[in-house]
Amino acid sequence: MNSVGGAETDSFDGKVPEIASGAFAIWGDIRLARNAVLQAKVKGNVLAEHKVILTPEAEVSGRIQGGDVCVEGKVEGGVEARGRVWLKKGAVVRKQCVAQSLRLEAGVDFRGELRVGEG
Amino acid sequence: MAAVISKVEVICPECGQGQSESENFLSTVCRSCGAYFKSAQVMAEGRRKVKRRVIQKRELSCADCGELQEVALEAQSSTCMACGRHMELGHREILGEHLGNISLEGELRIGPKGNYGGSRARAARIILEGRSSGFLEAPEFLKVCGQARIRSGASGGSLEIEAGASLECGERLDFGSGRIDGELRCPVAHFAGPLTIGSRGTLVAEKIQFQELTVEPGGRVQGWAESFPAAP
Repeated sequence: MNSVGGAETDSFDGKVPEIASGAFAIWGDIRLARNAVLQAKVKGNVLAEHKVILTPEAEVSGRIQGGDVCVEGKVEGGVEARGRVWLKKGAVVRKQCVAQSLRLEAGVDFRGELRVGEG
Repeated sequence: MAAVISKVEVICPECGQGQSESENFLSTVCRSCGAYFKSAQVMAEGRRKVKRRVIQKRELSCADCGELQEVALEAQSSTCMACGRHMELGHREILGEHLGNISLEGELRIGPKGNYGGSRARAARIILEGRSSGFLEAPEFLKVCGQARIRSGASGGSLEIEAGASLECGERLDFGSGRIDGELRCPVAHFAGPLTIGSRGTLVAEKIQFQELTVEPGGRVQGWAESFPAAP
């Protein structure tokens, strides 16, 4: 399992490091220790301890786990957040979405189990 | 507002008794002695035309054929000029048991102890506090204020469930948009537009369909969900 460091900020709007920016893919699960922006194609799961943003170019074949999650790309295995999930226009999410609060914009392609505000 | 017809005081030429008549009256019978007399006999200046105020109108569309038409603002019923459908324009309140279909252009309120037992009720606006066995159709909105139950489904413009209120529905709900601050339980919840679950709201459904969804912190949603693709 890969481990990638993060940023000093705790906001989506702030500066955060870009993980694997460019057109290459990662095979296997990745763990993000801090806030991060993911631009790569990941054949596996993304396990983030804090906030994670998937750009429109990003694709994750597995699931994303994190504190807060913002998705503009594609996630096949679902999103599971301890906090807020924000699915932006153009995002494609399958299988499931688990969060404490959710904003799903018009133009998102979501199909799957939805569990918000449990526990 | 409908025109108010002016009244004039007339004196009976036979007995001298005064009585009030419409300003445009042609003839009348004395309410005291029963004598018949014409307006020309008692009104020196003769009959003069009364200019009525313009009746305010509103526009509505027929629920069956969709034809637009104008009706007086205060009218309680009308007939569609295109298809002949009778339209009840007033409001109605169900406080007990009600059987039979309802079709209103106004507001239907089903009280806390009210039970709509017909097969289909249509009203522009429905406020539900009680129960309904039949299908409810509310082109403007369906507002749930109490502990409500619908045995069959419902459709309309928007669905609003107030904080502390709950709706349990036996069949599919089909609305343009929704705001849930209370609790909603149903097999299928379909919203063609945005759906918002407030901080005290709960939605539990086997299938949830929407174009846009916001679940505020504290709100709860559980079910299989599907979003509509973006409009081209």
